[in-house]
Amino acid sequence: MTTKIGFQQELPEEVVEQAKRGDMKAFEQIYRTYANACYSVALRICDQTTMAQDVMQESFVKVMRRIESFRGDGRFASWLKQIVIHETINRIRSNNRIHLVGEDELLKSESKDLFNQSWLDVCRDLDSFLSRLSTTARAVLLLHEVEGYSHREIANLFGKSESFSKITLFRAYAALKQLAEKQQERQNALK
Amino acid sequence: MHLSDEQLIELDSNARSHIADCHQCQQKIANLENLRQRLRALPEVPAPENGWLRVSQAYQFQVEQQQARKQVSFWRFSSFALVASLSLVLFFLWPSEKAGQLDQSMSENQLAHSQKLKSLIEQNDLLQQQLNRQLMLNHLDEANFKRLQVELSVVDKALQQAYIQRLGSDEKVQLWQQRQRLIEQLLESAKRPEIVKI
Repeated sequence: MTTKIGFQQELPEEVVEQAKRGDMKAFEQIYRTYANACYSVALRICDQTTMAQDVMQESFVKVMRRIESFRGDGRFASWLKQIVIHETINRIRSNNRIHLVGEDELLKSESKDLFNQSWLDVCRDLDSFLSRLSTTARAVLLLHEVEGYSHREIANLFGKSESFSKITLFRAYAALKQLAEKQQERQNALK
Repeated sequence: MHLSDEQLIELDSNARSHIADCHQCQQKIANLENLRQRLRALPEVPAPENGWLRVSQAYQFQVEQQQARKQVSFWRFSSFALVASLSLVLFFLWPSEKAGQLDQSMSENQLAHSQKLKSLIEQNDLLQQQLNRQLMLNHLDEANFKRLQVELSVVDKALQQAYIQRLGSDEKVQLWQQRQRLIEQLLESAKRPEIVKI
């Protein structure tokens, strides 16, 4: 039997119902169940501990204030994750940390054969690679490839076009590959 | 013709049928899936220790702020109502001061009092306008504001009574001065807002 972690964890329905009635103990249980998952998502996207803490705090406060609007027709964890992601992207946007991509840039970025080999095998610390991407590239990469957002959904989140999401994801992979190749070169030089 | 990187990232039905017959593209998709697996397998980062304390305090703070805003809007309404009723009292019961038509039979002392009163009313009116602007912007210090608003409403009621009962100028001047000081204190607290950081 595998132990569920992060947003895969399920909360008993009665905890959500108690929280809807304003029970602070129930809210605390919700927090303790999903705090790490929320913090991880926010931190990986924005790559700033202070901002991630603020995002998490604001997201949970929003959950506490809006829990009555949660109808229970989806998973509670998904609803919570959506709030955290929206809050994170809004913070990034308000901090002007979005790199704008022109609509025509998609055409310029020709295929670079990004997946011809499993180049990420060389990377021991993937988080350090992610930290070196631009905030936008990291956010789009994680939203599309990890959280399962479509380009359209990402475009809506950022208030941009689908092309913006596609080119940003492409660039994120290209940058990761470049980082991996450089690391491979350094490792080869040391041998 | 093999699939482009973009086609590999987001497979459509044509791309899927191509992959079924193309060993090279199958290998690329396997590499991409490997990358995705690495990204999805990133470990959880533990949240800060005092997180729940911060969240519950921030929630409490927001709830209190909301309650205070409701009180402010109620007070704003009652303040406008008091000012309006006071103006009506001035209009009907004290026409000479309202229009500045001072009785010629007044002594110099009475004349000076009337002018002082007129000037005080004008100053109060200006300060009241400033205060209303600050109220709109919610720039007032909550603790001071609550205390002073109670004192201000007491003075406003006393002023109403002073005009209805046609009390002497001295009492009215005192009350108007008291009102002016209270509004000045309220505005002063607005200039130095308390920053609450949780």
